[in-house]
Amino acid sequence: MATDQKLQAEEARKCLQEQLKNIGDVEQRELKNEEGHAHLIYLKSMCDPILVNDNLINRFYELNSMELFERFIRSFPSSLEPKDKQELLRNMLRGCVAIFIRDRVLLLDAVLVNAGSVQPASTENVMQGPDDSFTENIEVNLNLIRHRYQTTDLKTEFMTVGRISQTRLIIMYDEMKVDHSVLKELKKRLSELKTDIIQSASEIERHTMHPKLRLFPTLMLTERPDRAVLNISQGKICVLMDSTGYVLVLPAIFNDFFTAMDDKIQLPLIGWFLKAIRYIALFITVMMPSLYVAFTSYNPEILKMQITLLIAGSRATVPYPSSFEVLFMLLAMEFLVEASVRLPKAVSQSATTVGGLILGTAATEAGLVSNVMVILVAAVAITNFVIPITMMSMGIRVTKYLFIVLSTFFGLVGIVLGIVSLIMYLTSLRSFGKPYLKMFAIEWRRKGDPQSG
Amino acid sequence: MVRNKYFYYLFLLNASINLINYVPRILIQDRFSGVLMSVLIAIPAGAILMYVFAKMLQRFPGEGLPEIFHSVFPVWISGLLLVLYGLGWYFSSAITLISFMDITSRYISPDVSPYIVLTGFLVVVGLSARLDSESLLYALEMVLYITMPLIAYMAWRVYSNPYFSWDSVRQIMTYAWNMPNYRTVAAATYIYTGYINMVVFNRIFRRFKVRYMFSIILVSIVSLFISLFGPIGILGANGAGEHVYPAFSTVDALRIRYFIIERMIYVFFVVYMILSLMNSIIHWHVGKELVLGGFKLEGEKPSLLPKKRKAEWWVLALFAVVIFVLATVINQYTLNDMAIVFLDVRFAGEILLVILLIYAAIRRGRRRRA
Repeated sequence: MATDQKLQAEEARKCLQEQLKNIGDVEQRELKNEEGHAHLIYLKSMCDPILVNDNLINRFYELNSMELFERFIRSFPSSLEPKDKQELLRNMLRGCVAIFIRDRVLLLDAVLVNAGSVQPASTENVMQGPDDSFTENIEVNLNLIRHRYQTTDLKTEFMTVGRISQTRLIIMYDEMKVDHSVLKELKKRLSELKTDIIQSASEIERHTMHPKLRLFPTLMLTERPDRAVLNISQGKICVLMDSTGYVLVLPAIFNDFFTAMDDKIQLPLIGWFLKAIRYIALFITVMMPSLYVAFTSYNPEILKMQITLLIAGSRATVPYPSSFEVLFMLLAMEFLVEASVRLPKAVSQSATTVGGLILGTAATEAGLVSNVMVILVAAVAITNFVIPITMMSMGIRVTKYLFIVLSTFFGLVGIVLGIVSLIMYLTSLRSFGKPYLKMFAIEWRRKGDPQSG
Repeated sequence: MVRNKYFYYLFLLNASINLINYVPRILIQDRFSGVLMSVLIAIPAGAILMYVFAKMLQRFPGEGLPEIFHSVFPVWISGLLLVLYGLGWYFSSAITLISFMDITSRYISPDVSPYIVLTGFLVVVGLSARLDSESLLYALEMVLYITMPLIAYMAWRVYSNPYFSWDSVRQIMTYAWNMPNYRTVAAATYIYTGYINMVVFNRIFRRFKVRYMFSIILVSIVSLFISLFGPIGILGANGAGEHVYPAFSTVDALRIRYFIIERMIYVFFVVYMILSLMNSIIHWHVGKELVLGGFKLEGEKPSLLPKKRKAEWWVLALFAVVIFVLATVINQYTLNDMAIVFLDVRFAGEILLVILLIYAAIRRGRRRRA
């Protein structure tokens, strides 16, 4: 037997005791019978006490033979024999029990899982579809996906990231449909990840994507198993992560962020209609404020005479240029949105009511903003919420300010400049080598379902 | 790697941008002498040039003009040729941008300084021209799908207008047998000239092949018909010659009755501003690649990339400064003359380019056989 490969029990135990000094939740148990003795060391907070009692302690006294006990432990698929101290320590911190029998060290996985039950989705609601969402436990999530996608082509590769957090990841994909260049790229980027703590899926997004400063997400986060499954079936890759209820889907292109799961549930024509609605909403929420500035301050002659007079009439009492008016109102709206997200439920109701009343009625009656402006701000706010994926709607929220700045300085010309730059910017982005914005993005999805998801 | 359809987009972009680059004006100036005959000559001439060019380029899959020239000519000849072609191609965008600056201050925002507008143009064009060729083609596709329906709508509105004078069109038809002249032929072939962009974009095409020549010719006939007879029908056979931008004056005569925007000119302006910017971006990109290729900084070689990225800034800054200085110096008349000179030189240059390519293909073929 190659003794230099295996860890010597005595030496390891000393070393462990050294390392685990001042850690209060370490539990050590000395088991003794006629045959000999065994020693268990584990972190009480990480291990399942029932499992330890049933499988190790009770069994030790029942079996009454060191030989048999060791064989019994080795029969578990989750047991292993560590090669060095680092491996031993790492696995103990993960939730393994270290068992010292005779001169061997064995590890048995007894991790205690504290997972809530499967909850209904909260950020991506649908009307008439499945309602489950991912939990914070990676095994449950794996189960949720496997349950919906029953084929051996569904591959799962395990990985850990984060130097201290040692967060577990599972890369899932359908081997027959996945684009292998994307898979390779993903693994490369994940292995290059050098951060101490990874706690949420969006952190992976931030650390793996280039360029760092971006306005639009190039990875999708979803909390819906059905979306993950649909995407896997279209040849995309899902990255499951321990301790978050979100799954990364990649590569994600612009159009994916305008797709809700409803589109699949409804009849095809209605699905297209819903999608068209979302793109119209995108146009309105980005363009409306800047068009208002351009039309009132630079080119009032563009609109029909009656509309121009209407706007001018309602702006008659407003004492400052239209760009300030737009900025004030939009900022007020952003404050309101931001406040109602953070506040407790009970208070947020009254906050929105007060804010809405002040914005809606008092400001116009005082003559600080025009009536048309209030309608416009409301339209902008509502259309912004139409975009189904939160990350995208945040990006859009910022984009409209860039357009306002452009139209303040250049008028209509600035808006057109903005449109061209936006198209240029979006087409220059890549999500794992896939073009982000393209007129007909179906080409690379030819293998899967032509409808996007 | 992109598919063949992007070649047609490049063609379509140039075919539609002719309205800004003084092509209608030059055609209309010649309306009582040989314009029809010139157009009739220009259509097959341009189509043949395009076809031969595409056939020759197929012999060099995945190669741009710099790679082709450097492999068959001595360094100094190919360097000189590439820089000249690059600057010539860039010059086309100079005319587009300056005339669009002029149009903006004339029709849209007379109270904004034209130089501020031009600075905005140059910043957007300069930054976008640095992107990779593939992204530019995707953006081009996007832009064309946004603008083409609007152009079709406007063309339909021009020809369905009750005040459209078909008599004027018929009057011009009576001059069909007059002798053509070089200037008008050169201007009319501008419709086809989008294929020149392939000298750089060929690098990313997967097995480039040109097909559907018939529909290309059809599209060019339609666009020439629109840029020549649109203004003549609306502004009159005589009156059409009085305008600096006949296309803009024509569209300004249209009214949309049932929409929140009343005058067609604003739709037209937005559409053509997007197209002009897109066209300039692509021309700068091609010009930049050719000029850099002239200094042996071609393609995406990893060893040259940092140096190329640095040199790129200088070339693009130079492009921007030259246009800005030109815009402050020249006036309406010189701009018009510049456009005419450019169109004349361009046609000759295109013929020379095709001849050079044929020569290069023969050299390459002989070397392969030897």
